[in-house]
Amino acid sequence: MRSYHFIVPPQLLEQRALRGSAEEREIALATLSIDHSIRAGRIQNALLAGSAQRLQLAVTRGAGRPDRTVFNARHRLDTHATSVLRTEEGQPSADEAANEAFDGLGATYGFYWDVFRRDSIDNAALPLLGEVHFGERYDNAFWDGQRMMFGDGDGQLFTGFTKAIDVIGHELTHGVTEATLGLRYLGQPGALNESISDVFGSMVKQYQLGQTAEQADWLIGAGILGPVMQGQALRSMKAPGTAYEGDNQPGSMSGYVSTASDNGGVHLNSGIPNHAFYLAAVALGGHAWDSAGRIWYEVMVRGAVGPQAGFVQFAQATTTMAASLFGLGSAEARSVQEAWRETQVL
Amino acid sequence: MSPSRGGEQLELELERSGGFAGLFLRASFQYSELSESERGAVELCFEHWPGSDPGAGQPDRFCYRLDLAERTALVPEAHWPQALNALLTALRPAPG
Ligand SMILES: [Zn+2]
Repeated sequence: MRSYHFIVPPQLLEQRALRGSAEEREIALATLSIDHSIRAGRIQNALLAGSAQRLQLAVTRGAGRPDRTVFNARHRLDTHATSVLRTEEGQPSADEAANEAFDGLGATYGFYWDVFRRDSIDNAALPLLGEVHFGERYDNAFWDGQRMMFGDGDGQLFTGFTKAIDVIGHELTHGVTEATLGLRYLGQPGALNESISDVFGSMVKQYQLGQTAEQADWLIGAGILGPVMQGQALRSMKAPGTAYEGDNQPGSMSGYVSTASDNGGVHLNSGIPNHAFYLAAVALGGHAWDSAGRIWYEVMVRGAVGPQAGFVQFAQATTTMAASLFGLGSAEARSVQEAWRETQVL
Repeated sequence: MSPSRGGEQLELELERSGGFAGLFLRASFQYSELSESERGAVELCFEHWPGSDPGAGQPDRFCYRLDLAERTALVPEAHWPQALNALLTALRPAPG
């Protein structure tokens, strides 16, 4: 039986996938699925995500290019602001925070694409939407499931949340976690959710600076602290509990905090998996994203743990993944296991 | 709710935790010194968000905790009443 798979130009298949009948779409997709190119994967992901607009974007924009828009919340608690400060097509804004957010979103997208060939938060070209000047003297940044909000800070505790690239990497990674493991934001799964954002936020910074694990400062939120905060950052993955005066993050299970606040201490106990990642990355040396980062990422995208996973399950999953990717008894498998032992999780 | 019990002034304790920073901030107030609308908003918090068992939240949003006598309320940021915003200015960093 003759096959026409390789005669039909990919562009035509894409057009059929976009505009054809249900049957034509199915055939076009099946044909594209034979081509394991990144472009085909991008189109399939977009189609599976079910948005014709995003599919069009995936086809026309090209792989490895973000689609960023930064809005101005005008100091309101408005998660649907419409005033645009910067887009891909436009010039840099006169608004410094808008440019910082735009660049940070781009750097984070670039890290995920360059290192893992991940096309945005959902791996299906999801546009990256950010809002700056969120709220009045608002001391926070967060991902609301659709957009990233950045407050200006009150000038006392914080000086603004767009100034640190790891903050932007952290927030965008909450979206990646939501799209992959879906870790429940409570207790240990919540602390893992937080830790994964710190891990990838730190790697975004390290990647931009071209740093090895040994060269990195492993600090989260350096450069955004105001005069009231005595310290150098908000969290230290290298030495949890030392980032600022009053930092109570534990670095091992002996310091695990049981509390009802902060969704069960998610920003406190994240210090334990944060430190495990640091230990593994430094033990392996080189760029963190080549070894420990790859292992953590594969656990995420392969759904190696469920939404309710605790530290032990995550530790076992990363240890198993290290052996699967690099071999039983490999330096990677041994270093990851040792890191979880040192933090008293295993 | 009576502003005092047995002649003793009731103290309302407020805590904000969470956020990207994960900082703990606290403040306390004489319940009797709150305005009528503030006391009403506090009562609504105890009514709608009672107890000290945290639920799953949204990443990096603030969590508010109110304690008054034996009562506790854990209020997600999205449901924090505007009528209590004035209290937030009194919050100061405190050990977690
Ligand atoms: Zn977070």
